[in-house]
Amino acid sequence: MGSITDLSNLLSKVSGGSSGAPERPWVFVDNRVGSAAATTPVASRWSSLWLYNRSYNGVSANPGAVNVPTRTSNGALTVANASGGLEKKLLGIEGVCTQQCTLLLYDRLLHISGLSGTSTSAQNVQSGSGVALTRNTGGVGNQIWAEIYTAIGTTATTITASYTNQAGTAGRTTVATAFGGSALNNAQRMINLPLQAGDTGVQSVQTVTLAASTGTAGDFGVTIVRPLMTAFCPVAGGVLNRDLLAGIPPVQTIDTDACIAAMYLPTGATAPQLFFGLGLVDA
Amino acid sequence: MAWTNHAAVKAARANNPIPPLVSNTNGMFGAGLFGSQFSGSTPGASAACDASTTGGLIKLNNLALDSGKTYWLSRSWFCNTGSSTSRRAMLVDRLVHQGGLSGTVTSEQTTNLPTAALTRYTGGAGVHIGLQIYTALGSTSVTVTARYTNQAGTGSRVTPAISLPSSPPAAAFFPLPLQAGDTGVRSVEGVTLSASTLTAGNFGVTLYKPLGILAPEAGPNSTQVSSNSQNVMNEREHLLGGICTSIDPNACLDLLVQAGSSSAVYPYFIEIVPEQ
Repeated sequence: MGSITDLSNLLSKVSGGSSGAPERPWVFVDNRVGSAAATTPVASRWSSLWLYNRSYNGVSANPGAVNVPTRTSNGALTVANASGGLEKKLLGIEGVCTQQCTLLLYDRLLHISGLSGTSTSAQNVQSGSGVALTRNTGGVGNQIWAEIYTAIGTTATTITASYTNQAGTAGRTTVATAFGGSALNNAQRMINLPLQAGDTGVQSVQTVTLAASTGTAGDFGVTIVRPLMTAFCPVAGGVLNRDLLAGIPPVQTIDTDACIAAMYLPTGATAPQLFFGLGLVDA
Repeated sequence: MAWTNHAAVKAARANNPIPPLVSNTNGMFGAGLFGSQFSGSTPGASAACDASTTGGLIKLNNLALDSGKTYWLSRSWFCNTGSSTSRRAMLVDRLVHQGGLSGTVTSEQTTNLPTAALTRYTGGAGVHIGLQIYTALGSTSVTVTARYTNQAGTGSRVTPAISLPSSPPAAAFFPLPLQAGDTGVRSVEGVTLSASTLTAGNFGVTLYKPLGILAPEAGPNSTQVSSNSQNVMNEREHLLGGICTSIDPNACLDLLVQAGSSSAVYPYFIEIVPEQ
């Protein structure tokens, strides 16, 4: 396992010595998706930045059939893999944001779109696909999120996922979670599916099932997420700075071929613009 | 070159012959994400910017950096003594700029384009596009796109449209996203407005490289920011942490600043140190 030994070693690495290979990717994220304004967010509801227009490796299409995004996929905050037996370390973030919010950076391990908001049958995610996780395959810490790409209906219902947990036990079921209806049917909405009691992670998601139709098919999917860090913008127009060298969480290891992505939790109903950069080294 | 150890950083700071750069106080406005503090003449024909460019911070502070050395953003300070609140500033290297675009032309504008060749970050990776307003545009809100050549040298790429607000004032600065998959820009060839803003004004394209976020106003939460942060000095450490930024000695340093209102506020102070 790689490490940063002390402050002098850190200084050397972030300035290009000691095989640090530092990277500083910067991205401007506009509050538009394609040719239109992003969907108005809802306070205290997570929204995905995956489709937001950006200045760094943006996305132009929904995920489609289940697949594993990597650092070379459109949408990834692409960074080079570490070399020489070292590991890629995320040291922090600095940026600005036009709205008060919490930003969550994560490794997007797997995604799918094209699921229907009107079907009450078990809808396949990985079942029968042959697609499996390629990163954090043991599953500990992985989370299941429903992600809406085109608005589903206004009829409130619940959603569950059938999954295999971190111990390889299949047939686990997430806690039924509100889905559809006001504030939970919008495009770019992300809804966390809590795991079955006692579970701490996910190796695979077989299917998702709606308890009832939401009234509109729309388009939604499932995203398997491994959280990396959060950053907080305390006020509209404020900074979004966080250094992981001191505090919790500690410096994060970025898996080989990770697809670094982001979602945000707003406190208001205005889609944000963000401009942020990451600090990464090999250690 | 790289820092060998912490002692070298301490020595560099202790023996630093470069006084802190003092920024301008212009460019504060209330619309959009940023305003540019660039105080040079309004550009016409596209030109590459460097440390000798009037309006850049190195020239503004009458400095001449050694082109054979590596410089690092070390610390920054900000103290808001004004009635408005200035909440963020991004330090950038202003690479290339041009002006003379009109807020009333709705066909693709190529006046003073394509942008001049990059002289730094010449491959285009990590280079961003911004639109800077030099004379206010009109009251009709429009969208705008730019046609550009990306980091791989592929031309005819088109940015997704951004929204320009009503009557963007002089100094307003609007970053542009890029076409899906792109990670940088080598040049911009054209700009297109969706409609007339009703006032010609003057705006232009700036290619720039983000460098870092400077010290914000003091106060970690919304209640403190609004009033209690006045007259409180805030410092940000840039070197002894995980986010470390090198400064090209030929850089044309500019600040993109956003303020809560149009009131002027006090400047930023920026320390850069040469690597030992």
